[in-house]
Amino acid sequence: MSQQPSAGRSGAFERFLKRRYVKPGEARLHRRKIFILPTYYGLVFGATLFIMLLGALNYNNNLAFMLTFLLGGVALIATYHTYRNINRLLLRAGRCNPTFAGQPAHFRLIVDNLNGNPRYAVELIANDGSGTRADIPANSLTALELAVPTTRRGRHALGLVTIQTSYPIGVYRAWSYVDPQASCIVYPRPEGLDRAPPPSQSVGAEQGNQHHGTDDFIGFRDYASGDSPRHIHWKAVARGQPIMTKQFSRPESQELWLDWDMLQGTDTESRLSQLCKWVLDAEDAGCRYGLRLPKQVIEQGNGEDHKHRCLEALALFEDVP
Amino acid sequence: MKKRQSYPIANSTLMWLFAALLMAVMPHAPRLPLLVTALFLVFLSWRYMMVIYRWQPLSKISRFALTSLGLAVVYITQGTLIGRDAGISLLIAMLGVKLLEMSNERDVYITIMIAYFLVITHFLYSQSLLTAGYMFVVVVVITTTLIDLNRHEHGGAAQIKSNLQAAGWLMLQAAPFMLFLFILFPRIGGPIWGLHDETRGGTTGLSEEMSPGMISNLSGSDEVAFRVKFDAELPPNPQRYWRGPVLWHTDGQRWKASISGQPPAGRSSLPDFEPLGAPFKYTVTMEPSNQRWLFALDLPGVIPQESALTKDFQLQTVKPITQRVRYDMVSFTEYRTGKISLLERQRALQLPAGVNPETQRLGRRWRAELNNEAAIIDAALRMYATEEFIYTLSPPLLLTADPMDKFLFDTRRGFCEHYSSSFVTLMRAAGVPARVVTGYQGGELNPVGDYLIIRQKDAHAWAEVWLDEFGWVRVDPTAAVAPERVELSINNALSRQGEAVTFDLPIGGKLGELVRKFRFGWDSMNNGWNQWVLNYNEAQQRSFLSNLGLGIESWKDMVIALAIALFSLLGMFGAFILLRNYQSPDPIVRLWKAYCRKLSRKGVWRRPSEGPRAFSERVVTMHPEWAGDVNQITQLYIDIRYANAARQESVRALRNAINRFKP
Amino acid sequence: MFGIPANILGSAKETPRSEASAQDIKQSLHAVIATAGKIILGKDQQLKLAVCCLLARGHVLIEDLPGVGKTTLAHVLAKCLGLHFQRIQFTSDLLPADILGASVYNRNSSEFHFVPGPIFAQLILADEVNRTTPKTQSALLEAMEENQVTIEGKTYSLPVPFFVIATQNPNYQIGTFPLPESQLDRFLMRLEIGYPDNVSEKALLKGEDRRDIVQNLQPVISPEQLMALQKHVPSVVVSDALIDYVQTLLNFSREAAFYRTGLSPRAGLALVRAAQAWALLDGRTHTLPEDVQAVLPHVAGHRLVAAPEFRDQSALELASHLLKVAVP
Repeated sequence: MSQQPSAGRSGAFERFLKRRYVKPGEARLHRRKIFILPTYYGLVFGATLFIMLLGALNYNNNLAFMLTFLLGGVALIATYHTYRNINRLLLRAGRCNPTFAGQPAHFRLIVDNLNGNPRYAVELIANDGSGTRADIPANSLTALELAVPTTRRGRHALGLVTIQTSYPIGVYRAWSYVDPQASCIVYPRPEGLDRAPPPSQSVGAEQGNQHHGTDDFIGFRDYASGDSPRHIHWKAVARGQPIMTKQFSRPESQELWLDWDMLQGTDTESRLSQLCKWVLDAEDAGCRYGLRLPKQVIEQGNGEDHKHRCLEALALFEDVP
Repeated sequence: MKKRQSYPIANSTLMWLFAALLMAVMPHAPRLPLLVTALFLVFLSWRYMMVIYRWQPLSKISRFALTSLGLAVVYITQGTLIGRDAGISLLIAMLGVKLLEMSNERDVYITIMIAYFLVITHFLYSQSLLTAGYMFVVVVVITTTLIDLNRHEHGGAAQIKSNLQAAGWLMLQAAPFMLFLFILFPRIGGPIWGLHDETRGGTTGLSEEMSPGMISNLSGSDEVAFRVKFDAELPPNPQRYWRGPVLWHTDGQRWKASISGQPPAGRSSLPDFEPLGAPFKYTVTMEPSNQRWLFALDLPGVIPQESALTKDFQLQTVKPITQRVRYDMVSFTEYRTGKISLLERQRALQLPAGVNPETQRLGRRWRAELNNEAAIIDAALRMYATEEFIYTLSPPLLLTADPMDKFLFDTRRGFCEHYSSSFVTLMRAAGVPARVVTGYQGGELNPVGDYLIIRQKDAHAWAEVWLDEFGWVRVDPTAAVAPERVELSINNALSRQGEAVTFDLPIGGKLGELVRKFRFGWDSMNNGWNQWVLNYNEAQQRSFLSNLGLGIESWKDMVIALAIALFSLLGMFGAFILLRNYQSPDPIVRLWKAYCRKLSRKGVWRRPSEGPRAFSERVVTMHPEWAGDVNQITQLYIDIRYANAARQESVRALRNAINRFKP
Repeated sequence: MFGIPANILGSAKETPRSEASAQDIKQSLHAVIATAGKIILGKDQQLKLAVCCLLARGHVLIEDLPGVGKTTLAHVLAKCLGLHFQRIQFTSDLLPADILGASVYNRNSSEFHFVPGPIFAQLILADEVNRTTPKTQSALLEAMEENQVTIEGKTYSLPVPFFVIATQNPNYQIGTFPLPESQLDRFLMRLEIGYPDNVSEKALLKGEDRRDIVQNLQPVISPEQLMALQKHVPSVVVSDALIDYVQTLLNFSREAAFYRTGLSPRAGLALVRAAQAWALLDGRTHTLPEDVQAVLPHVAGHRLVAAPEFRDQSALELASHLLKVAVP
């Protein structure tokens, strides 16, 4: 809500405040952490009051005096109201789901207002200027979401967050800095060729043999000669029942190895982006896939968890020369 | 450097703003040129449509055109762009233009500030209790707009209520600050720069001249001229003659003080008469008249500050009375005035030659026939009383060179100015020195505040004649025609064109009683308002503060006292608002918190995540001496809050236990 | 009321039970714990939680290394409560029918008749559930959830009381199928037993063979008594204030950075139920925030999924962050 004071001077001032008053981790706002100053509109309000006072003096008009003084009183007590609007809030980092480079990271910050009155129009502003504003109900835990744009893969730290408010009348800005130590994993930007990587050689032999897979029991069928003795339901035989063969199935899918070394001749980031795209494609296609990076191998698998494990490996990949 | 986050202006904020502006502008409407009001309303409706139907905002060129249009309208209708009236017109026209071009938060703030400023301009015209009350509502609405602008979520009836409540609370909490500032802020006597001739406006009440019809015009007005509070008892109604301008010179039609307009008799430093009865002591609070007379009961015995007494007993101020004044007076209703000078006698017999010949002839005949001043006066009064004279508010016009002749011998319908002027003309023709005195007669007693209200409709004119053995003697010929005039008040609502005046007899019935009570109560409030609020000026401030006995004498003292007062108020307010951070709606929770506060003062803090039983066990381990109380309180609290035990008596028991608990 | 069915919320009106009766319950259950505690040394807390779980009609998942006494615990409990005990060792080739039972053709009578599987017992020890295939696991879990099994279109009710103690070996091993998150939710609590402390271990080493003592154990209470006790749990008072606290906990778990997924409404229900049982174990007819806190790590631990940054925290560590949430 507030107009920031001019850049240079307050930049240094802000740096001083941050150095002096911010500790990492969850923080409860209190007297020594909250700063308050008039906003640009506060100055306009003050000027208006001054003109009104001059008018009242000149015309010796007592009602004009009363109005001026009433508004002056409002301006004085608004400091408390503004200050109180963020006082005693407890802020800590909340969840932040991973995102892809180029897309915003949605940091969630938990504002703990247990045993507090309702707060109105509380703003959170990240270091890069992206902000959010919300009302916080009384006696509640509220999560506010800060959408911060990302450009590079890796671990994106949220850094310092400014919490501020100008409620109720906009003439003051009360603010504080917190460092919730929140970070978000940013996956590489998925881009590159659409061409799928070649299926891994080791899979070829098992192609078309899904009836004899060993993954998942699906039922019994009559014994046919050539069935593996391992799959015969011996317990039933023992009970004097006909010989049955246990049937197992495996999802009808390809198995892939997504290999760092398949992508020769491009720079690290492009390789990671390509791998990222392949991981997503493979997951969409229902393949079983594994990831081979220079220092890390993720076994074949599929599903959301597996996908995220692969993507995380790509996001946090450290290029060793 | 952070970018400032900009949020769109909610429609609810705009609606509040429209309401606030409408409320702030409309009371000016009767004073504004019609065109300016119309322009403002058109712009406001336009903007409203823009909100409702999502019309496109205006282009730069059309905004410029509209600004020029506004300026032109103000200039054409007012003839100028500066000065009070034109300035307000300009402010309102530009506010309309601003409304149309308003697009961001900044514009809304500016508009709100203008709205606050607009409120103050009303006080240049009226400072009545009604205006103040209405404008307070307007200020609450403007502040609500400001709060709504600073809210994040918008909409819903609940929010309308909560915003209004927030604004109301702000005002209420600001009130003590206002009070201290009002009392202690140093006032200065005059204007900082002397410009406000305009505040003079039109004069009200009696003027230096009297012509037929002038006072009867006033008799339609319920406006208060002044209020009088007597220290002891009141004089009876027939003695309540409030003396104003004394008129000596006539051209046969109009009366004025002298040819030059100045009082002819000169000033006197002391009241020059011999009091015969007991004095009446009283205080007059006079409304601004933009004239220079102070009114006092016939005859004034003291001279208030910054005023002088003329030899014909008029009280005159140095400067026109542009603000409400208050003065203490002493009057004697029975008196004998001093000698008459030659010049005075000459002026008191002045008549224009050849005008009103019939009247002059009658006067001369009485002089010849009776040759006794008392008898002459008696003859004149008997003529008014016995012949067909009618006392009316709307006498026929006397469009003739000899108006007294026409009145006395033809129309015979007139108001007090007709009777007093014809009477003085007759007296002078008969050789009896006489003069016209204007002022007010009567007044209404307000039993609520126990004071007299004298309204413009009580304006009156009477005569004074010189009798050698008594000096100047008051004669009221109107009383001869309509004796009720000096007994009762005029009921102007019932006096239609050309009809005889009726008088306010006390209205019968319960309703009449109620109406009267209300009217008196209202006037009493107004009187208090005038006395204590509007009249609080430099002199009052000084006397009020010295009466307090705190040794606040000079400006410097006031500033220091003000600073101390504001700081301690702020401190108290801060403690009030911050310590009592959150009042849970549940009384049990409040009690439990009070208990925890008691313990925390002894250094035992409940961890936020600590349950009641775990806490009490920890307290008892640390302080076994409190075990009894702590266990009892915890048990009661758990019973009520977690075991759904019957509340009523348990709550009481818990409250008692916590109150008793003294760690 | 707050989305929690009224049947688990006790109200003061409904059960004007005297404190004495609550004390009786406490005494009889503590007798069970005390008896079991003589054999399973130094693990009173785990025993109490297991009994609490039993009382709340929930099932327990014990996740610990082999040899710390998981099986003994199950066995001892069964003995103390006089419950019909069955142990099912899960292996990779175990089939659903091996647990549930199957219809068998009887040549003499020329008709199929149902041969109940080992699940038809009052207390099941499902040993090393993560060794079997997901299909078999889900057969067990469905039976746990519904208290009945359906085989070839016919439904058979399981005995009452029915209580499953499943064990899982936490070590990552080839050829195991860890229970999926959705299935973990079926267990009311997840316990870890841990190594015994020095004193207990010494006593253990010196003492006679546990197995013999177990064989000779006499029931402390009967299954019928246990069922009567179970009926008391839903009528333990849960006040609005406590519901507020539980909601705050759920809310926190859904927003906090520690967790990728927060607690489900079902987890909330489980938490309240377990807290009620805990209160009853303590001889009270109302639930306190302390009860919730006592069972919270065990009820919430296996239902929370750590965010990537907190993956190396154990389930108990993860859940303990919830204990910092303020009590309203």
